[in-house]
Amino acid sequence: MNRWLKAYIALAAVFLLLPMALVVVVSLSSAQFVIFPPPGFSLKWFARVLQDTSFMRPLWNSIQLGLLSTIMAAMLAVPAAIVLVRRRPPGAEAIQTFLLSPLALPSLVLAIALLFFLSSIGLGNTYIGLLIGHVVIVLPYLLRTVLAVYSASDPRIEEAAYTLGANPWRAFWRVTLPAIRPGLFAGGMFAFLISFDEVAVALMLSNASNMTLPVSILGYLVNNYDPAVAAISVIKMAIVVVVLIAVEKFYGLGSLTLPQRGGTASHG
Amino acid sequence: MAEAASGLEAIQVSKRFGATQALGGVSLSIQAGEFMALLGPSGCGKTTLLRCIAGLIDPDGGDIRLGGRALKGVQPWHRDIGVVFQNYALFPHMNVAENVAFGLKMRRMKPAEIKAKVERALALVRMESFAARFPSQLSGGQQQRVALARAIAIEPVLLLLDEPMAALDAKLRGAMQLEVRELQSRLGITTVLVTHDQDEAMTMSDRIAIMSEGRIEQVAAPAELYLKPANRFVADFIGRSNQIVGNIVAAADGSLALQPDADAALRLPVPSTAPRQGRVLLMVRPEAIEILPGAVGVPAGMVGVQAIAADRIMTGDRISLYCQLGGLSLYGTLPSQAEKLAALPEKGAPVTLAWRESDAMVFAA
Repeated sequence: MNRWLKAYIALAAVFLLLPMALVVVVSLSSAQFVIFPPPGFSLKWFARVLQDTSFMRPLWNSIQLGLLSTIMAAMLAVPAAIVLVRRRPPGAEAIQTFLLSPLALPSLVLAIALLFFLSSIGLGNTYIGLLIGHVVIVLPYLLRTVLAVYSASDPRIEEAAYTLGANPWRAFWRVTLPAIRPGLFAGGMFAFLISFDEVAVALMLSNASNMTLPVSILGYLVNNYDPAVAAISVIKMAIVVVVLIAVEKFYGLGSLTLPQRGGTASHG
Repeated sequence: MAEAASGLEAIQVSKRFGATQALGGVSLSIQAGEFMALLGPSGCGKTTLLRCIAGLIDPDGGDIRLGGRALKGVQPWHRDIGVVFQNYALFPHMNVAENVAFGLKMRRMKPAEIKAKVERALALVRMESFAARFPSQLSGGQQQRVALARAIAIEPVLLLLDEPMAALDAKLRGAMQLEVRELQSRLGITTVLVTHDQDEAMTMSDRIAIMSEGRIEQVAAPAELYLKPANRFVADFIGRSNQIVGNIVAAADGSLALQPDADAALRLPVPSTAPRQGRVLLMVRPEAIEILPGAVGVPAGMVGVQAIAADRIMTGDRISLYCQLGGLSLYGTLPSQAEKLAALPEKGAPVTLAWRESDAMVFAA
């Protein structure tokens, strides 16, 4: 590799990682305020946020919302993928583009649109409304990976199952679902991360009782400037890193961005 | 393995896709234990007929009976028909043994029984040692064997093969054709093969149904199809031939001849079975043409023409000699043997082409 290219990549890595490294350092600070370098090190800010329900409640809300929206999006993505890939109804391309379109919209635009729409049907400040918002946001991530894995599989596997004695219900559970499981898991973990990190929609649609972690951190920052915010951020980062490692370990992060052609290679 | 092989009867089966008549009332009778090929160009309806038999699509009209039982309204998962699909359609998340066991599990057999039947099916296709592999770890030929084992493990009353060799390379394809045929006759299972490859159909089948545009043109044993095609389509589709279109004309002595469109001055001999007038197509297989160097005259008992030798083309096991006859080109073939090649007339030399009257085929054009 070219020397300059190496230097460029190193620079990019520093640019991306340095702020996060600073947050980690500050979270271990013994000072009362965010100052750098820290005068000394302690774990007291971690102890403080772990006992603070104004952080722990939103953290739990975020995990719950991430899981729920991912499961609901999966329940939409799987039937959608089956219809789009196997049945190819008229307008399949348009439907697919429509379902993936939240990816292309700025999330703030999407958030405002959702706020207006959900308010007008009486779901403005409800948990259901927040959940719907996050399902819309995460659906494209799941659908994309499920579509990629499913289109790469043999179009006749369900028919093979029928001729072997499986009715459509058993063919779905024993053949279709297992065949798309890699895409479902990889997309699902990514969907969870997207929801877990999402600010704009949560800011518009959540209320005091179902506030998500990013919203509570934002709110805390308005009035406070102490290392507690760094500590909760480190906890959040740790969760994200664990999920990303799981994705990488089981499926490879490449599968999230590259369509898997001829893609049964990940088994075995 | 099949307990009792069943005959298959298709009666006036029709299917329409939008504006396309995929099957226009097809009737076909296949005997128990018989190996039948459905052969035809793409779009002829052969795959549609196979899918109707498997129950994967419903025919618009007609009946399909398997072992005397009407299949109308019987779902594919209740038909007991084994299918080997074109790209095998193995389940990617299951290993070889699990793939083969799938149909048995669906029949809720006991684990011990399933294990025994899986082992037997894998032994039949010589894949016992691959039981723990996943499909992605197998070659095309091995995947095909697994697909075959999976289809026969359920001891089907009928086996359907949908272009099963299309994805294999030529050498392997030849070997698999013989192997599948051998297995089929050993098990005595009624089998329908869909293919567009006439060599494959001829190699494997007891009888072949030639299909075109949703109809069956002829059902016959391979040799009969080749030597006694029922119509122009079959004659043209199977094998290669010299094809000359022209009008029947009467000579001064009252005998009939063909006046080819390509050269109106020529007269070609036609068999006595030819129509007495009108437009016809004369077909002579190149290997039926005897190539005699020089203007030696047509041997007794044969008919023929004088021509001028032109290009020769070597295609492996045979040599084709193209000859010019006025505006007409005819060719004959010989086995590729050194002394035959040496005896061939040079380009531009006179040559006599002769064939038996019975080897000429005439169809209304």
